[in-house]
Amino acid sequence: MRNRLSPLEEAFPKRKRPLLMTGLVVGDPFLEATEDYMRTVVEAGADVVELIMPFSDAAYHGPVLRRACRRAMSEEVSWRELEELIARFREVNGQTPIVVASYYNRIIARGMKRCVEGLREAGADAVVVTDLPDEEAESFRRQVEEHQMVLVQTVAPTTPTRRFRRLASRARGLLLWTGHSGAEVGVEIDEFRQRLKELRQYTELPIVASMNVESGRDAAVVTEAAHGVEVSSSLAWLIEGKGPNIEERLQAFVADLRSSLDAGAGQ
Amino acid sequence: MRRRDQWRRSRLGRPTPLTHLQAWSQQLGGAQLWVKREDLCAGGSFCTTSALTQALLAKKMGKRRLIGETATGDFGVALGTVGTAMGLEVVAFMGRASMQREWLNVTRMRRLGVKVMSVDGPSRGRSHAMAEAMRRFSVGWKDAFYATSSLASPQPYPEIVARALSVIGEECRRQVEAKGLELEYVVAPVGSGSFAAGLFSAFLDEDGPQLVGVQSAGETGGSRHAASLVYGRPGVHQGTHSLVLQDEEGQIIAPHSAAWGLAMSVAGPQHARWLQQGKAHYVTVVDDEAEEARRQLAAAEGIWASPESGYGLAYAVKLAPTLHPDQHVVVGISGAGIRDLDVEEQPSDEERG
Repeated sequence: MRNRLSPLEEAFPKRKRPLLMTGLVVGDPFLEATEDYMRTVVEAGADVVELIMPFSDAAYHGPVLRRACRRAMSEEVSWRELEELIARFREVNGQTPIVVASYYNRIIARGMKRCVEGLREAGADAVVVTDLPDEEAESFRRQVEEHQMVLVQTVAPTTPTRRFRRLASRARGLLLWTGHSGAEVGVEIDEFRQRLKELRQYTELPIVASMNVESGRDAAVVTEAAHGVEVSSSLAWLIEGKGPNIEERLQAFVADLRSSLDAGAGQ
Repeated sequence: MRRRDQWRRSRLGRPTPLTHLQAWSQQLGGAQLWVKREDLCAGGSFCTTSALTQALLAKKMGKRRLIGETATGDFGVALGTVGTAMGLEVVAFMGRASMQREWLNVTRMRRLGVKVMSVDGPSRGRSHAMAEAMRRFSVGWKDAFYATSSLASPQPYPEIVARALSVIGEECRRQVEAKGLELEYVVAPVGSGSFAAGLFSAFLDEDGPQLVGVQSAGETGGSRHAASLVYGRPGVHQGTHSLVLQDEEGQIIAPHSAAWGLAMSVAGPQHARWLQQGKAHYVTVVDDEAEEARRQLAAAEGIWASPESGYGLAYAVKLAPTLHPDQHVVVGISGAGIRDLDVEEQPSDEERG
C-alpha cells in the first residue's frame, strides 16, 4: 500500500527537514478561496495539506477553528464538493499529500464506504477523525485501508504509553499529537519534550504536533521535540481577522514557518 | 461504597421521599400519581448525586480539582456542594447566555466557592461549555478530574453517571415495594437522560412498569425541539453513539426547549438501546404544556418543581385520566423550581406596598 504519505514515512527518520502540515477549514470563507489557499500554502512550503470538513459542533477544536467552522457552515460544504475541490487541486498538484479531517458524524451521514471511495477517487491520501477513538475505529479503519488510504492516529497528552504503543504499532504515514490546539493553556514545553522523547522510542513514524503554533519561532521550538508541526488555527485566525490580501499574508506566514523550521533544523 | 452511602445520607439527604399526590390525582380523575422527589436532594436537584460519585472518584484518584460544565447551573451547584465538602477546587464552565438567565444559580455557585468560567460559544446550549471544560481538562488532567453533567458523554462517563444515579431507581423501587404498590408507569423527563436513566434503572425487567421518557417538542411542536429519541437519527455526537438531531449532511441541529436542562441534541446511549429493545418509549410535550403542568402541581400540592420536571408531569396529566384510581404512576421530579423564579417575576412596587 503506497500513497503520497509513503515518501514522508520512508524518508524518515533520516530526514532532517521538519514537516509542515497546514490545516484549512474547507469553505472558510468560501469554497473557491480554499482552493486558492491550498495552492498558496503549498507554494510557501507546506509538506502536507489538511482539509478540515466543517462541523456544526466542532467540540474538540479550539474557539478559532470552531468559529471558522461556523463561517464555513454557510457554504454548506458537501462531501461531493470536497471531492471536487480535491480533484481540481490534483489537476495542478500530483504529489502533496492531502489529509481530510472530519468529525465522525459527518462520515456516518455520508456512509463510511461512500465517503472513503469518494475521497480516494478525488485524490486524498488520509483521513483523521477527530472524535473516533482507536478502540471504536475498527470498521472505519478497514474501509480506509481497503481503499489504500491512511487513517491517521491521534495522540493526546493523556494517552498512556501502553496505549501509544498499540496505536503506533498499526499507525501509518504519521502520528498526530494533539497537544493543545487553540487553547491558551498548555503542557509545559519541558514536559512536552520529555514526553515526545519517550514516545519516539516506540515508533518509526514522524510525530507531527498540533501545538497552537503562532509564529516561525513557535514552530522551531516545537520541532526541537517533534518531527513536524500542524498549523491550522493560526491560519484560520489570519483568514478571519487580518483584513485584505489574505493570500499574500498566508504566503508570508507559511513561508516564515518554513524558513524557521529549516533554520531550526540546521542548528 | 460504604463511604459513598454515608455521604449520600449525611450530605445529600438521601433517600429522597416518594410522595403520593392525593389531591392532584383526585383532580385529574384517574391513576394515583406519585413523585420521586429529587427536588429535596441537597443542591436542589438529582445532579448532586451524580456529582458525589464523580467527586469521590476524583478524590480516590488523588486529584485536586473538579472541572465540569453546567447548562442550568444545577450541576455547577452540585459540584460546588460536594467538591467543597471534600476540599476539592471546582471550576464550572457555563455559556454566557446561560449565566445571564440562571443568575441565581451563578450566585449560588460562587457562594459555594465555584470558579465560574463564562463561555462565549458561537451557539447557545451546553455543547460549547462542555467543549471548553474538556479542553481545560485535557491540558490540566494531572491534577484535575473532568466531571460530566450529561449522560451523553464519551465512555466511560455514561456508565459512571448511570451507576451513580441508579440509586434513585433503587430507592424508588424499595419505596414502592414497602407501600405494596404495583406500578403501571414510570415517567421522567429526558434531555441527555441522566435522571431518567437513574430512575428507570430499577424497573427494566420485562414484567415491570412501562417506562416513558418525555422530551421537549419545543414551543409549538414544529421543527425546533429537543426530541432526539423521537426524531433523531443514529449518529455520534459528544462522544456518544446514539440518536442525534441532525440534518442530511450530518450537521447537528441545535436543540430547543424552554427548559434548558432538556436542550440537548443527543441523549445517552442507554436510551437509544432501551428504545431499540422496546424497554422504554419516548414521547414529547410542548413547552407550554410542561409549564402548565408544574403550575398545576404547585397549586394542587405545594410542590414547585424545576422546568425540566414539567415535561414528565405534563405527560402524567394526559396519562392519568386514561387509568383507574387503583393504578399507580411514578413521575420523576428532577429538581426544585427555585432557580427560574426569574428577575422578571420580582414583585412590582405596588405589590410590595
